[in-house]
Amino acid sequence: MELTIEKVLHDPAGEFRLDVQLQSDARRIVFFGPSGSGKSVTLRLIAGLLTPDRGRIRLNGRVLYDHTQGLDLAARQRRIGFLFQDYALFPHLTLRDNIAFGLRRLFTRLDGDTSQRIDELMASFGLAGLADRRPGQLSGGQRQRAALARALAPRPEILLLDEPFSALDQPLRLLLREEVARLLDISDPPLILVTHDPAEALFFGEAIAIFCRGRITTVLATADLQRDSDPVARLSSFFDSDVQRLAP
Amino acid sequence: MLSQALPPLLLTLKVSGLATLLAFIVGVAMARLLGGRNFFGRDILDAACTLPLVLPPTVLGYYLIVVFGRQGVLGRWLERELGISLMFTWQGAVLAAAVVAFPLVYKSARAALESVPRDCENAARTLGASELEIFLRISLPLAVPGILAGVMMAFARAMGEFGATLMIAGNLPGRTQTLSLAVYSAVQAGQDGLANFLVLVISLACIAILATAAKLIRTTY
Repeated sequence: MELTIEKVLHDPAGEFRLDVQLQSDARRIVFFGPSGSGKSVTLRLIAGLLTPDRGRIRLNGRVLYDHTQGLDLAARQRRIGFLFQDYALFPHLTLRDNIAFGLRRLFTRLDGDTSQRIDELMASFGLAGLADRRPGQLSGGQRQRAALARALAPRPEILLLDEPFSALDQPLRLLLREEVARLLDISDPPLILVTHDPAEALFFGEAIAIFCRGRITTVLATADLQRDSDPVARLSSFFDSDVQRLAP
Repeated sequence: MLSQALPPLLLTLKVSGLATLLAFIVGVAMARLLGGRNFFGRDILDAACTLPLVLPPTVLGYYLIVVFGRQGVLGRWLERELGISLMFTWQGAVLAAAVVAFPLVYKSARAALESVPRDCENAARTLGASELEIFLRISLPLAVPGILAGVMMAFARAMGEFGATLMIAGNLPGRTQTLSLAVYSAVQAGQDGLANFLVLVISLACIAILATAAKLIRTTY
């Protein structure tokens, strides 16, 4: 993966300048940093939901964006799965139609193979028997599994997860973390996960990119961190020290 | 009495039904267009789309005469090319009612589309959907309760339309005389019994419509 992104965002609070550079061959990358450091924005820029001002995005040898070539692939052509923080399930569609959404285009019908694939996906995600429920009738864990199944159904080249557990309280959070890890092992897609929880970062990442004020300040290999006596404390220390070091 | 009330009632249903359909199509299209990304003149266009809500119907009627009348730019073209005249015809009444009802559809459709969660549309984008597909499969269905409520209001407004209709379509019994015009004529002619009956009919119809609209507004997922 190769990322060079510059983007200036304007909001009522003022101007936010994102200037991110990252090169990594890790299959599971975690964007780690305090909220407001630009992790989620970077994720949206990679998915094509926001457009950079300049830069270059390359994933698995495919260039998705390159401003010098005037190349900017639409989000729908990027083959990127995205798990939204609040899941963003379609409330008016049944669970099955939610999962089928990425496999069926307007005015086309599901063929037998695809239909079977959805059934298998639902079974392996523990959603069998819930096909006709709407998202409002599902529990938090079921919703998360449904969103994950929906994102993985079209076999994306990479999966982006935007703070997937931040909406949950602590015990459920640990439970679902294990569960998501188990489900991800089934298809084992390359992934980028955004979090501000050091334990979560260590749990999911092969490489951890540390974000601070719109920049990636450090990239750490989890294997190196694990040799540390207290990797969680070490990772947490980046929160404070980086803020101090970069403070004007 | 029923024989006198029936023709205006049927005409009113036909005129307001078609007018609502017209207002629905144009209103939702404009809401989608103006609710998208910002462009030069968007606010002016938005104001223009809301104008029929605040202008006196007689002013709207006058505009329609200027544009669609025998000497009007579009009116002359319609008559020459298609042989259609909107002056003093029920089609003219449809146009008048549609223009007056349009902002109600437009406003509610715009609000309903804006309340669709952005990340639902973004999720559809990452799942490979085109913008048209996102509109038809996600945004529009999620906005339907709000839009339908606006459509009901538009229908009620079209049923009660008086001023603009009078200006462009006149008040010809059996041809362009809708319920509201028939009430006016009945009162003018001193036919109190007929007036009472017509007033009752239109009031009950509007109460039924507004009650349905209120129910639709409460529909959420």
